[in-house]
Amino acid sequence: MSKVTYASDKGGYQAHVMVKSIAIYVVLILLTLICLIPIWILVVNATRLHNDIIGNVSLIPSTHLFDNIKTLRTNSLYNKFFSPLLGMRNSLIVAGCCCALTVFFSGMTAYGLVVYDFKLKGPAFVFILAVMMVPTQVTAVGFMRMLIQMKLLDSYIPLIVPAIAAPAIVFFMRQYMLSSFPLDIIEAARIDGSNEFRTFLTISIPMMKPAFAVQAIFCFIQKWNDYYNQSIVLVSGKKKQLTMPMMVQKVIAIDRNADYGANYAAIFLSIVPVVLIYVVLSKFIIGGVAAGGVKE
Amino acid sequence: MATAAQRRIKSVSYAKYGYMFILPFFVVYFIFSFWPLIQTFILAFSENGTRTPALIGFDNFKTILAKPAANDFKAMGIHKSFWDGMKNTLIIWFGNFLPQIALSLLLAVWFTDLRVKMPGKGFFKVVMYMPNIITAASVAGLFLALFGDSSYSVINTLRGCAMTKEQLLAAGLDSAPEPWKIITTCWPSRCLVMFIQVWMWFGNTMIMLMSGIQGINESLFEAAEIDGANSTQTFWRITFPLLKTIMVYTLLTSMIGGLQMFDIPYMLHTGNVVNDYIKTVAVFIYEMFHSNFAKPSFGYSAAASVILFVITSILGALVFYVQRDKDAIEKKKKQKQAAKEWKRKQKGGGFSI
Amino acid sequence: MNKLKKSLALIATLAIASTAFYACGDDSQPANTDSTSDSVSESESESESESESESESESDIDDPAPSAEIKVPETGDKLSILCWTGDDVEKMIENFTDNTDYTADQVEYVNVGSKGGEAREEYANYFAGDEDADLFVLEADWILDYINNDEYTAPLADLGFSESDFDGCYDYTVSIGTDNNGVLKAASWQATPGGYVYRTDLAEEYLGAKTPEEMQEFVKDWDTFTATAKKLQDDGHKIAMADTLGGMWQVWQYNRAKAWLDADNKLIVDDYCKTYAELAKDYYTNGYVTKEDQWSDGWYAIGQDDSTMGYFFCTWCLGKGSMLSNAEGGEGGKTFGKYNITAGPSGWAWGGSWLALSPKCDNGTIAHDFIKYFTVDATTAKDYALFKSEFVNNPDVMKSIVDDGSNKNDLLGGQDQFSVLYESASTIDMDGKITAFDAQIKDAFNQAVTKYAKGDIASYDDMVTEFKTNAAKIEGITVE
Repeated sequence: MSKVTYASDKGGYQAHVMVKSIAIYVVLILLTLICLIPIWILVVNATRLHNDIIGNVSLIPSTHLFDNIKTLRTNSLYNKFFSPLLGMRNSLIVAGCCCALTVFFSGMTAYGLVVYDFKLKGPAFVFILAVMMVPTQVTAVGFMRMLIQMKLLDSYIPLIVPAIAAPAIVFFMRQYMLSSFPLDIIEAARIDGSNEFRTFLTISIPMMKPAFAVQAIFCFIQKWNDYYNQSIVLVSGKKKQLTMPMMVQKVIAIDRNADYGANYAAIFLSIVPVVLIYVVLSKFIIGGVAAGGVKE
Repeated sequence: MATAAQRRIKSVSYAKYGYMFILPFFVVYFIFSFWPLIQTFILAFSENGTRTPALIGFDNFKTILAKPAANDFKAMGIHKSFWDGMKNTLIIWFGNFLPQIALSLLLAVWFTDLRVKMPGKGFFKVVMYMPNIITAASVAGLFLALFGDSSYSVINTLRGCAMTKEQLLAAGLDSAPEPWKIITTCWPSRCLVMFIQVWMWFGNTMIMLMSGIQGINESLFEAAEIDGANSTQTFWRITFPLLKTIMVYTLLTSMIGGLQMFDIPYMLHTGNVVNDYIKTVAVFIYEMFHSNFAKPSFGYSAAASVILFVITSILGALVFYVQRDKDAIEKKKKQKQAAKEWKRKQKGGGFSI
Repeated sequence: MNKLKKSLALIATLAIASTAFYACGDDSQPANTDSTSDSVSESESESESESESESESESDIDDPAPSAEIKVPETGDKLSILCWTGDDVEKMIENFTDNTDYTADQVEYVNVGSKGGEAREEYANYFAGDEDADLFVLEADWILDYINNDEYTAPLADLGFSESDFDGCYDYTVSIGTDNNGVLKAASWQATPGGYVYRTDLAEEYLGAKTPEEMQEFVKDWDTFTATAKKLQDDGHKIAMADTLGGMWQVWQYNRAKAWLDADNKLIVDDYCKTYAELAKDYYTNGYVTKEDQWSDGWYAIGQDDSTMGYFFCTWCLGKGSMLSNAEGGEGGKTFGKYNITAGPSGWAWGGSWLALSPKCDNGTIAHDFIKYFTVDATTAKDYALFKSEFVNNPDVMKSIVDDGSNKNDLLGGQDQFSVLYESASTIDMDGKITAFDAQIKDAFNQAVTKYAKGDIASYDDMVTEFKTNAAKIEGITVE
């Protein structure tokens, strides 16, 4: 409020702000276009037929989205490895399970680190801090060899189970609990005779909802998009196991005369779920990024 | 007066629950991350071309790091791929980080500027973060369709490369322009990858910087405004110095992320082979252990991973140093404040509020 | 807060839904594709693998009595044929099931990847899992790697075949399918001579060549070929003679006297490579060859947009749904039927595919019948030759087709490509000229040559260094 008063006190200042605002808006609109146009062209071309796409660019959607999806399902160039529903189901299994495991166990680990006092608490936390930055790429070779030895290739287990140990998310949850979790309430629960695990499940989890929700969304999106690990683990590339990013990668790699409409439709289908989740939860997600919750 | 229950609780040790709560994390971490990490270190000293390699000592590191003899093509091949990968990684990282941080910072300052009222701020933020959530495979596919080498890619179509004979005649040309080959040419392909990386990540960086700026005490900006400082002055005198920590943090984490750059460089190509000019270190590592399944080059791949690990660890240690610095500053601030409070209380003559 | 609740509910639903999926999304479940909702309700039939074998025994009843010599078990329900492309296998299955008692449910094409050069790795990956694999297709570029590895391939004798069964085939296909110990491991259904496939309309307009014989005069050897390319450019036509550098090298590679590797797996780079590299650079800079990459979208596009006079194609590029069809834009495409084939500047052959038996095979009888249908049995092989316009692996059959003129290829405007290629098929000799690493070496060589042609690499010596450096990364070969 008060700033507006200051600003209007000075002559000409308002005009200056005005000019600046316009300049800023021009830049912002430009950036918005850069962000959206590629996606828009994708959406438009997903609704156009191959022959229309070849030879001219359009920004007006056509009506053939379902024809293109049908091509994906019937043309043997695609349907040997691309099936939208199957891909979404598989991605949903992987991302959903990872998401649930990560959030639950990270919460649990953070809870253990915050609520209890024990000898190894310090070292445990330092360890988590230290391994937070170890890139997946560094462990990938060993991971691959381990999968061979343990005969875990082509299984969802090595994609899902490791989600239990997510150092960065434990770190975030711990910070969150330290700043906004009333420890007295646990004491109170103990007095009421609640055992420790029940206290965690029935009292702490509901209280940590906001942190859980943010991490759940990020975890879901990240795992949905995780091509690297999936391509390492799912080596045989069997259709029934393929996830959405892997299917899309195979569409890109086609070395026959591809149907452009179907190609676009395939990419379109792969991003629809995440974009929908994003649009619905966008405020929340942006808030989560601001809270420093994302690590890539 | 303590009840019986309270007394009982006080006497119970809860330490074992602490262990129980953190146990799943550590068990899983040791199996799926720590053990592979140790394996990677062992493999770094092992031979190549077999799935059950034996230890061979430092040879892999020697091959990768030391300049090999001119006629030792094998060593040269590995050595060159690794360093080309390093070079590409650094070039692409620089080329995407600088514009990205500049753009994000500018936007973050605008979005948090108190003087400029900005309707639709939420919308812009949502749109600018959006590219970050799209699967890299889809992004690669999308940009291949937009900037691909074929005459039918969007960019080449716009330039008229896909014109039919009749259209050419009508336009009075005797041949269509030669299509741009962005994907297979050295610098254009690198620039495209840089652009894609900026496109995907600037929204994320912007929001992180914004939260940093919002963390700065608002009264500082108000004071500056009362004193008649303009935006540029405010930025260089207040925002920038106070943002330093978070900037360094962003820089370091971006570097760590940059060293892992894989998806886009790996997938941005048609045909059989990954484009040499954008092959990053992460792609090198991946190809070495993954592309020949029967005879994987675990050794080279692992040695490169170890080198990457060392670099990452150094950068990571720096991040902690920066973070700790911030915490320490905060602590000091708090101490000062507490001291002030204490003094005020003293002045106030000791009555409680 | 309200929003938060909603989002939490959403996430919870997602999580629950996905766990539900996972419960039945187990590995061993029979491929239950496109029906997400079904699979949920179908649920916890824990003994999926058992249910699979139930259906197996059912289908076995219809099978003809297994031949006594077949050592491969009959426990599988379906013959799975692995390949990296459906071009051949889908047509083969169609033809096979149409003309035998087997039904389409009993034979399945399994796609392991989408690129020929990488299929070698895709197979190794696939075999690492425990998926069903009966027969799989091998490519000349890397067949030797597989047939000399007993982990991946079993002798055809296990299916009751003897070497004499393949007497009717082209000799070179049999010797390539035989491993270092003299054991026959793979059988081919095709011979792969190649020619020069050109645009009839443009040839007549630009060169005045009205028939394949007249066109052959313009491309009869490499000097003439180059002269024709130069003439087209000089006349102001912006058209190339050759499709891609990759395509040209296929012709040159075949005519090279030496293989890529010597007996000790040492890389051989000779003057022949230099001659080719210089020619490639000349062609590239003067526009005698297009700047497209083989196997890219652009490779097919040039078949319709008048930027190339023709392609170097071999037999398997000329059948239904294959490369030529793609280059013409399919049936009704811009240049559909506007191509003809001539022998071209030099005789050559390109690759070829072999059917190999996986040690995991569990459908002995069908596997036996399938291989026999396409390789041993002359009657059915002829049927397939006409069905797909395939140059089958049987000189007598091909001779009879050429003689009675029964093959008319719509893609070639009704021309019979067999009559053009029959002669050179009998001269094909690949034995000793292919190595287990050809696919990778060829990639490395073509990359280096392309960079040299483009000018990214300044001199031939630098090109050789680049080539050797890249080739040296291939595990199993030595480079000096």
